[in-house]
Amino acid sequence: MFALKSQRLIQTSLSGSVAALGASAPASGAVSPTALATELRVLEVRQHQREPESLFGAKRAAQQGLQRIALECSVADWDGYGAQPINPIAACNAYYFIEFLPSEVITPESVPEPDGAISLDWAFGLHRIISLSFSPGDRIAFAWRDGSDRGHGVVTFDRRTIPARILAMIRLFR
Amino acid sequence: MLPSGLPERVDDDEAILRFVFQSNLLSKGQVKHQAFLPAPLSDKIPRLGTPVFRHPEEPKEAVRELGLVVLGNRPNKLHGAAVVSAKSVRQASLEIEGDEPPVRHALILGWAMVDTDPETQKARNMDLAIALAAAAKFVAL
Repeated sequence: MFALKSQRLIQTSLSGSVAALGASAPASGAVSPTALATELRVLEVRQHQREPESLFGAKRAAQQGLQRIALECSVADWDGYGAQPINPIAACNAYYFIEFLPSEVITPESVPEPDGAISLDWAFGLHRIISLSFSPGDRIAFAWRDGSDRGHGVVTFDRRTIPARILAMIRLFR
Repeated sequence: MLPSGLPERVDDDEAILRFVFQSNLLSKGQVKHQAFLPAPLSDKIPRLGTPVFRHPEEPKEAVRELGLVVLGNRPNKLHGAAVVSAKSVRQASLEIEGDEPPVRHALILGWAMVDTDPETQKARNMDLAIALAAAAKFVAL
């Protein structure tokens, strides 16, 4: 039942994401919701074929965690302070990010944000964290802290290639 | 002096509470930095703030009572409160101001505003929120 709900969420997200995806869609043509849903299914099959079951399971668990949080926080005021519902396109972007993470990378934890964005966090205690914030657009805001060192920035994500700067940081934090 | 009897200026030694009404903002007994991220305070004046309350960490029963008042009749559950000192807020390059009513209410202010680039604004504010979360202690209620 829950899996079905999650699937519907992603389907709904994909349906609702056409406008936003227009900006990053291939110049050759528009991306239809059906095409995106199909793409997602193809991605799942490909991933299953190329990765050991354990790694496939870790990514899938992270994506299911993301779907669960997007669903739980899909209503206004989910935090009791007037938060906006999690934007399904933002959730989709985060879903794609997990999809394209290299197999050896630790999977992140999803966390909702009050402005309707959703984070993927790699946290190793209070003082060692990388957090990526996914919004409906193709730019990811990020911040990191490693002891007393800290920083922040913005990268672009084309829903395929994990930005090299982010990947290097995640690997460093392992 | 504010209606609660508290001084307008929030003293460095005062404890600041951010009540947590969503379990997804907690992990391994710690509050996630997303719990501190600010929201627009008004549609008319572009300013970001994080609502908090000025109250000592003890007694817990009084903290819990205040949390339940803040929760009101929302369907959420009171999980606890992130406690941080006003000094830590200021050390994170943020400011805190009393903002009553409601009683003991305050706002964490000084968040980045970058009108031309919302992602840069977000990244800066994530950085600040991470610093706040690192200084906070979670008290389950």
